[in-house]
Amino acid sequence: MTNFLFSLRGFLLIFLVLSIMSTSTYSPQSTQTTTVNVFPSTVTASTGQNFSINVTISSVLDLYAWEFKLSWNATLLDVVNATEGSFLKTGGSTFFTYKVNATAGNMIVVCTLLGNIPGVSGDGTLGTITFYVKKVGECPLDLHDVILLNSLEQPISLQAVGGYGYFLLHDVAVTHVTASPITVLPGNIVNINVTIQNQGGFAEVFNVTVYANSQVIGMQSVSLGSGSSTTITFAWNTTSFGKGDYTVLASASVVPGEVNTANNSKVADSIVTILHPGHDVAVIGVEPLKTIVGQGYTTYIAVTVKNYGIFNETFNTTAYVNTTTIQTQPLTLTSGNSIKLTYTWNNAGFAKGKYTIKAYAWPVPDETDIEDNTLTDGWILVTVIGDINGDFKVDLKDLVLVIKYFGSYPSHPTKPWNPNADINCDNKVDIKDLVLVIKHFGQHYP
Amino acid sequence: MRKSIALVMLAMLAIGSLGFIPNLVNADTQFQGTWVQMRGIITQWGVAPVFGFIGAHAAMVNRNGTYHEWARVHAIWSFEPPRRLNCTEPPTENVTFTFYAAGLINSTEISLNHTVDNRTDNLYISGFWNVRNVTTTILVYGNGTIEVERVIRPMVYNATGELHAFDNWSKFVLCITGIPLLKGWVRRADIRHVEIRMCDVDGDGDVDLIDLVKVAKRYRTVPGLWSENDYQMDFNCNEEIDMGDLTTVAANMQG
Repeated sequence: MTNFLFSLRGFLLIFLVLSIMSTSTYSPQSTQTTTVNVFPSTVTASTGQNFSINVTISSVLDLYAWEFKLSWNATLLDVVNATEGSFLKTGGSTFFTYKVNATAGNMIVVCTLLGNIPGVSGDGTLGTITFYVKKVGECPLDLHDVILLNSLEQPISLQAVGGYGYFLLHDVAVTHVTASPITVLPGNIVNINVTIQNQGGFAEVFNVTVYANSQVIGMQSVSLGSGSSTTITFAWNTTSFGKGDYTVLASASVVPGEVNTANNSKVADSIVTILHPGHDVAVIGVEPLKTIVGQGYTTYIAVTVKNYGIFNETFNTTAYVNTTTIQTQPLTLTSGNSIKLTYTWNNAGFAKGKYTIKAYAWPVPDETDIEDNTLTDGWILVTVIGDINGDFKVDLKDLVLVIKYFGSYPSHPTKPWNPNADINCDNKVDIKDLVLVIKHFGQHYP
Repeated sequence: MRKSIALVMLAMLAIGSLGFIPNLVNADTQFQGTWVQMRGIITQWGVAPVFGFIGAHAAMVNRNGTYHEWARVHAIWSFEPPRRLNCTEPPTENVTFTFYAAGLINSTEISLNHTVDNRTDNLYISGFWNVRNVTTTILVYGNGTIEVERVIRPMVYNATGELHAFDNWSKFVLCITGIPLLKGWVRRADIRHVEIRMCDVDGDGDVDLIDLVKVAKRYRTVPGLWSENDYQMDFNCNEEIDMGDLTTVAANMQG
């Protein structure tokens, strides 16, 4: 009985020792649980930008090698790169590598010490993963299948904790710009109201600058929370600005990480005119309806004249091709207003060739600034009937052009408009124009 | 009562040892084929007795209707006593060690049960081979530091040759043009219809972190040096466990 008890005790003792040995070699750890975390656990990042997360480890003993898998939403993120953290390197040279499946949105990252050396203990960073944010959204940064091996090639038990990412926009926008009054004398104040909106997901501090043409009128700093908007006013003192038309533009500075910058600037609904304190008319635009016209056909020239003076004026405006007068039109313009006049030119009797076009607003009494009364701008080519591309011959290229624009007219919903293809100037490209090309096909000048 | 205690203890021991049971082999169902792994001891080179190892790994696979085959054969041998290739202790004095290494660089035929002239080989691998002579000098300095110098001399390059394993997987010969015949014993041969992965060092059916660690622990080791160099982990057959071998394992790890 004693022998038996002795042998049973002996067996129990051996069993106990073996059990302790097997568990101690299998998991030689401290009482603290080893954890592997995504840090920071919550990430907020902007679309169009990179952000990085660390995979960190804490309370590990004798870490020789590690491996983890990370998964994400592939429609939102792309991996830019992965780099090894400093932790394992403290134990010696390492081998680090990773493999990315961009389509599935996952990666495996692996690292091991090299050589027959002990592992590393403590806390640190295993690796850093850098992502590029493609779209607005949110997704888990799922850390899984984490394996830690000690220097005896045995697994270390652990807890893995992933992260979560919120991917938002940086986007500020100028949504509305108004100027009032829009006709002033030099020295008057024009109030410019600029409405700006933070259309992104982050609070932003940025500058809003207002320009008159390209001159800075003023700049203000704005602080806006996500989704909010505000209207700020700029008082434009026009003292140092000369007579003329000014396009007012408000521009919000690009905030860091902003991708959509198209809405950062907006032009005011109306231009601002600074008047001359006296009599002053000017030609501000000369534009031919079409630039290539068959010999013997009629075309039109649009001339825009403006009264920059402070008085209502009645005066004549004449349009020219080269030095030949086309027509003179009388008109009356109130102060600060403009008008577009249309001149008709039948080029019958004009030789084939290039003609510059010009308009002249006859000076009004007591007008001192007459430099802007004349404007030469653009040209009209008089050519062979059916020549659309202006090479002075009617050939296949012209036929192709008339076919290309066939059926079009100004403001056609889908077809682009080329007035030169409208040979007979009836505001549509149709069978008549096609017939003209065919009829004159092969003709050329000289 | 005693029986119950004994049963409980046995059960606990069984549970405790479960952690050491290797993972089940994952059969790759995407393709069918035969995989062969053979290991052997080299005993004779021409008429001279030598000691060395040979490892062969071959696959004959039908993947989506297309037949693929590949093989890797690596042999190292030396006139030195076996303890030199098997050494596990660091040298205490300067040592110069010469060995030879042969590697298959391109296979032309791989077959099982290959019959020619009434002789049947269990495994036949023909192809082109490189053979090199490697002289390793281990310099032990007074302060305990050790320096390794290696001189590698090509003996034959891109030479034709064949490996024959025969006599029911018990013997092999390796004939490479330009060097004497190598002979030896097959120590182990596995023929399977599930994939034997090239870098599955621990033979558990997966290439995983443990395999990488096993290679990493032998990093920079060379045959004849004390740190347990294993020629089977020298996947690029350059007689050194290096970054190329680690990269090969990493590339074969299942993602």
